[in-house]
Amino acid sequence: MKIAVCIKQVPIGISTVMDIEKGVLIRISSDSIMNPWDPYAIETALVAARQTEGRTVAFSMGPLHAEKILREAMAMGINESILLCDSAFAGSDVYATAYTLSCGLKKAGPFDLVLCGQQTTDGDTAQVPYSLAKFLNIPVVGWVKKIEKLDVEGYSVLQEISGGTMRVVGKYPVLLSISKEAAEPRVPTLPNRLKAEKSSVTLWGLKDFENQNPQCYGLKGSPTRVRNIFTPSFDVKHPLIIESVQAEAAMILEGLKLISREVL
Amino acid sequence: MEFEVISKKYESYLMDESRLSGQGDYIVFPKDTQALSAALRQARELGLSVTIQGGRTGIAGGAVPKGGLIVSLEKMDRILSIETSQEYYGLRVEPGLTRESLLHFLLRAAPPDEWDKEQANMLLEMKNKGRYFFPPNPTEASATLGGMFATNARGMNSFRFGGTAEHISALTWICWDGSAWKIQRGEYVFNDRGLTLPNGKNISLLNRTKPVIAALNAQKGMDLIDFLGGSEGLLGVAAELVLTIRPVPTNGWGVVYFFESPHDALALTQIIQDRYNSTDDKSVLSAWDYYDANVLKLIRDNQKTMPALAEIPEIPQGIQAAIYCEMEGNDEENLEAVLMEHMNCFLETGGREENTWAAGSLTEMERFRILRHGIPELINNEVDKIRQNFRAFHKTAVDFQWPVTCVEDTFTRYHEDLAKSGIKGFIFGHIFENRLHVNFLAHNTEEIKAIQELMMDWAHGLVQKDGIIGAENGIGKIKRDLAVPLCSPERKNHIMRVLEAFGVEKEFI
Repeated sequence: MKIAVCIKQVPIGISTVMDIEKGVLIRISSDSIMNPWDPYAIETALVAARQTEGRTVAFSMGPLHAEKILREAMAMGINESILLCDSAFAGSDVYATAYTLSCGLKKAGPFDLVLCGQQTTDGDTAQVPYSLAKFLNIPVVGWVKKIEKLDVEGYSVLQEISGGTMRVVGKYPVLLSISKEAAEPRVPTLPNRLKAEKSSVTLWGLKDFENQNPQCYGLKGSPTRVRNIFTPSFDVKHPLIIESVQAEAAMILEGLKLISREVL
Repeated sequence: MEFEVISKKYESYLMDESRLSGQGDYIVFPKDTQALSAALRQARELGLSVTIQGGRTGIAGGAVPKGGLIVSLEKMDRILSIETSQEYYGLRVEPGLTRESLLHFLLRAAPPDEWDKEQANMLLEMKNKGRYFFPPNPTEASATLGGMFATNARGMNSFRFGGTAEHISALTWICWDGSAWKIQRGEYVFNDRGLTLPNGKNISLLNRTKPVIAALNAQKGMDLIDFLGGSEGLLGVAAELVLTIRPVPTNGWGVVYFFESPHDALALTQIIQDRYNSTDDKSVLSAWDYYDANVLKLIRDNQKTMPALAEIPEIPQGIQAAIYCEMEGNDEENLEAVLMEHMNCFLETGGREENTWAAGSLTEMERFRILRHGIPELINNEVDKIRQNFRAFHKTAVDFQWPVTCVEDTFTRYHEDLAKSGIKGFIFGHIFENRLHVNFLAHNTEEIKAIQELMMDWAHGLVQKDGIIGAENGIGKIKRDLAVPLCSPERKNHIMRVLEAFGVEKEFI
């Protein structure tokens, strides 16, 4: 079985600076990490590979230094890594990101199982898995909170839905977007870590794809623009003066009762 | 200055993380150096004893008041200015600034509004060069810089970076009579005749006398700033400190080694120590901490419920000890070569490859640091649980500095004595420097008595080997009864003379 996992390098903390003209986020942090949801997708891939004697490939779309997170993925046990890196890919929205990833997956595939982290901390739309599945023309199950079965026959997962949980059972191919409840990511051992530092990461750019029209990628290929990002402000009309712990607790209780009355 | 009478709303100011509680008559929150100076002058005129407080995160009871005036420095929390000299930058800060706020400032914050353009540009220049940090990293993020200086707080990387005082290049010191001294590193240094203070008084060296405690340990070549660091509020207060900020190394590794026996952890430590001592390059290893089986069980039992620990996988079963090691440097290849060497040594001591965890960047290492930082909090929770039924118990721990040449003796003594006593204890910390923490739990007065006997027995052995009591967390109020009886008459006299030179008007001993 062939298993793909898509991961992303994100800045530490949340970037709140944007280029209003271009409608894109400006990454002001010099430190980056693997998107916190992605280790859960990687772990799911590794467990699936063990159960199916499958082979795993990690993909990431990003600048050259995103190679770092691909090495982390290999340190966890991923067999192969491919970095989709080209200046033409810069400024991608959900649609363009998903399209670019699909080009990489189609070139390296076909894959039976594709895994993504549920969302990222920077864009935070949680939409790429669905768009990617559409471009790959495969079913998608989002918000997977538990893997009940992932073997050569198919899968059975629990999906978080509004007001409850749904069991989804099916056969491959499928794309699953994985939440943090679904797995417990392993920590790489020291030997695996050292080995991953020496492993090679495959680099693909626009020229490696079948469709080499730059209008289909990056900012040019993005139908959406971020208009603005702002933190809503709240006017404090009633400053609180706290007399004692008991008074504070009583005030909080009253507030909770008020909120629950309004919600219900 | 107006001193407020202590009322119910200031209850939390009567205790610190040691869980010891005290009493106070008045409290004041000075906002700057002048106000602090005025408060101390006024307290002296009124004959009030004074307790200085920062974040109240100390675990030796140093910030717990025993009547008189509480001076809380929490409102003195500004970052006043930046300066630069060659490779390093200096930040002038007030003592109430927390370590967390400093970290945030170094990582993310813009220049304060009150800074002028030149200062703002210097800060931006620093940030454009890369990340900078302040090396001492005690586990408590809400510890204040003033408190860190007062206890000469160290942290996990003390092995490489030492204590807080070493990273202070200048300070403004307020004496108990309210007078202010501006001290630059290198300006006042102990020589053969001792040291003459800014007030003209002289302090002699502590010559061939066993120091017993880290504080007031006057040695030739020691800077006055290092002498004041760790003086635990006996000699005055730091009103401003200039912190030396260093560039963060470009590469870092954190590795956890798991052992099926504590003695394997000791064996690996001794091998690495031998290699470290025989090499000229001491720049790479920056932490080597030990965790015993009880600590690991505590972490395992709380991993699902403590959010900070939830990001870490479950500690493997059957593991009886762990070592957490950190290495940092700019030469990636050198770091990896040293790591391979360590890995081979680990395998030689019976370790298994799958019993390692590795983080290959400074950011990933934060996950493992959470383990280390979570331990005191977890132990505090255990203490609090006991206190629900047994109020007399408070945080009880030792942080003895034994000679680094007898790691095996200390290690064996702690493990065997604890096992023999039947008392529940947690052994963890700086095994490389032979400065392990032992935290005890007691459920009744008999157990408290047994702990005190054990601590006293260890302390006696420690002093015979010229070791130090309260090497990391200070003496405070909790360890006074342990430390003072072990001080020789010469040591006590030296301490009294130092206090006189600083104009301290109280009985220390």
